[in-house]
Amino acid sequence: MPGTTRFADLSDEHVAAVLARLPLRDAARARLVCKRWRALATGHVFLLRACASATASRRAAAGFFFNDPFRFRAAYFPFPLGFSDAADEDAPAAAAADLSFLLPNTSPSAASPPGGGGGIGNANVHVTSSCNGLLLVCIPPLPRRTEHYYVCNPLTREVAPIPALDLELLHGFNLAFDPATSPHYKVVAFGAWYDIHVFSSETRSWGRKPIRPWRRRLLGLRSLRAVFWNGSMVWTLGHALIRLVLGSERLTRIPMPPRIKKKRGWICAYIGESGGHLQMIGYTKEEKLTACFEILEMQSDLSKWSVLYQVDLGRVKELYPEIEWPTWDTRQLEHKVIDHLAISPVCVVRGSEEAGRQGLLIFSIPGKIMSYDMEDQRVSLIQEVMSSPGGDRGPYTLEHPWHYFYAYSPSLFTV
Amino acid sequence: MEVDKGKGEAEETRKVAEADRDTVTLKSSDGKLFEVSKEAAARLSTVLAGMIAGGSIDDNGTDLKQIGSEALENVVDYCNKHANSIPSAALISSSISFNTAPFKEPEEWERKFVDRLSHDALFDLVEAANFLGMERLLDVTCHKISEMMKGKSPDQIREVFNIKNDYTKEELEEIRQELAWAFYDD
Repeated sequence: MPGTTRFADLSDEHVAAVLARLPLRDAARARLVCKRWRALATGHVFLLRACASATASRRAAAGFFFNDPFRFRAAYFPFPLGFSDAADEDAPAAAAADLSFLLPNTSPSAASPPGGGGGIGNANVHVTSSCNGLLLVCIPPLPRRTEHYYVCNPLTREVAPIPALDLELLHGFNLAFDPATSPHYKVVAFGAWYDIHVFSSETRSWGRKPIRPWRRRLLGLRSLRAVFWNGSMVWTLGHALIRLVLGSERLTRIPMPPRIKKKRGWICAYIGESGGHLQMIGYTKEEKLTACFEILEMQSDLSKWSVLYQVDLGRVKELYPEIEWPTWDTRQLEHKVIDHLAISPVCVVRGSEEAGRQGLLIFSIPGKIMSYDMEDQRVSLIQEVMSSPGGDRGPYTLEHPWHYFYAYSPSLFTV
Repeated sequence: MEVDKGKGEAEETRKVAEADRDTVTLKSSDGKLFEVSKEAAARLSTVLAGMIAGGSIDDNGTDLKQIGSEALENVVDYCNKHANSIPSAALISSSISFNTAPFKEPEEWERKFVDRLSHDALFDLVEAANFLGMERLLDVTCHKISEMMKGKSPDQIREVFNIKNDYTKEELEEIRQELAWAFYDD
């Protein structure tokens, strides 16, 4: 009966346990109820608990940001309904993804250009990293001189600028944030000669001495994008992965599966972190043409890779025959020699269970972002996107590789 | 049945038989007796597990002075229902650490179990579960209380749970400003 219960009798621990179970926004709003609740519903340990219970019952991500290469902007797309409970009270999916608060002089509507191809548009904002609910974003000032980097929480709209270095222009910014080990984050970036600079939010400054990798260690770097996993930054080299264990200055190779080592032409086409695990997709050119591949997952002790999912995108080839690109000399012939399959895996979202059941693969084909459900092999269209600068669907359209995409899951962590 | 046989025999046999008994008797603060599956009690409650292992279980009803009969009835009911449901690995692992292990959603029967409780019974059950070290039951009851709060305004929450607003108007306004992001669709 209303008015008769005795919340005051419950111990702090249990009140906190109750509040941590609330959807994230409700948990934050509980601070308005009384002083005791405010004290209980603040602080890193509480936020950690609240985020752990918010993600326990669903997939490891709620949606993803996509850096549209043709309009310098990051669009946000929630996963389709049914794929994630995030659409319920917990995921202010649309609002969380509105990054217009980063641009003080723009109203939210102005930040989304008209006819923006769906999603929430964030003009002049480029996401460069996403980690446990925090984003590292880049905003170019006008007139364009240097880029400005910020770490923000799109849900709470908190922003912290990352200061520039005095003498050196950095690039390849990546964010490292593991709330389970520390409330502080680090930003890792390359200097002009691929020295590695590390910024710590604890000291709010860049480390005094950059890490100078033995030059050849980073030879073959395929993308400036790194994945933060297990306390380390992981970059892709063509046929290998290299990681920097933060806190140490060591760059080490991650051992590759033995059968891949011997394969000629094998490339790493995707790495990502989901549910605390590192996933990798790789194939040779011939293997890719079949549209069947494995998603491998690394054990956290780095002992071995195991197969997490088997993916068969053969259906996508049937639905969209135009993604099979013939060689130039056979394109007019009846019997075309297929040379390339325009599919890129862009995001692996692990299921919530131990075995990763109910996982999701986001992939792109020219002009479309699609999803593949591991459970029932269902292929769905998430969003149409521009695939060439003019918006025409010519035969030579661009692909959207994995490093344009950033899985995101809301959290309450502070920047 | 084994108990009856055990009671008639010598002390030595009685002890063995007691260890074999598959229920334990619990006594509430107001003297009511409840039987609960020993296996379920030991699995779900760290306190009862300790008492069973330490041999401090009283055959004529182990005194639990801190727990009223209504709450104890619910505890026993929960244990017995739990014993009858298939114990999934998920449930057992989630009961290891209250603070860090991710919370597993209540199962259908657990939901029904807490849904039929009054507010008072629910809060009593939280206290009883806490006293007996029953992490899973704490999880389920706390989850239920949080469900009652979901989507409610601070005013509504204060009313439902009888909480006094100890903020000044200015303080309230200040926090509201900080939390503006959490109100954007209200």
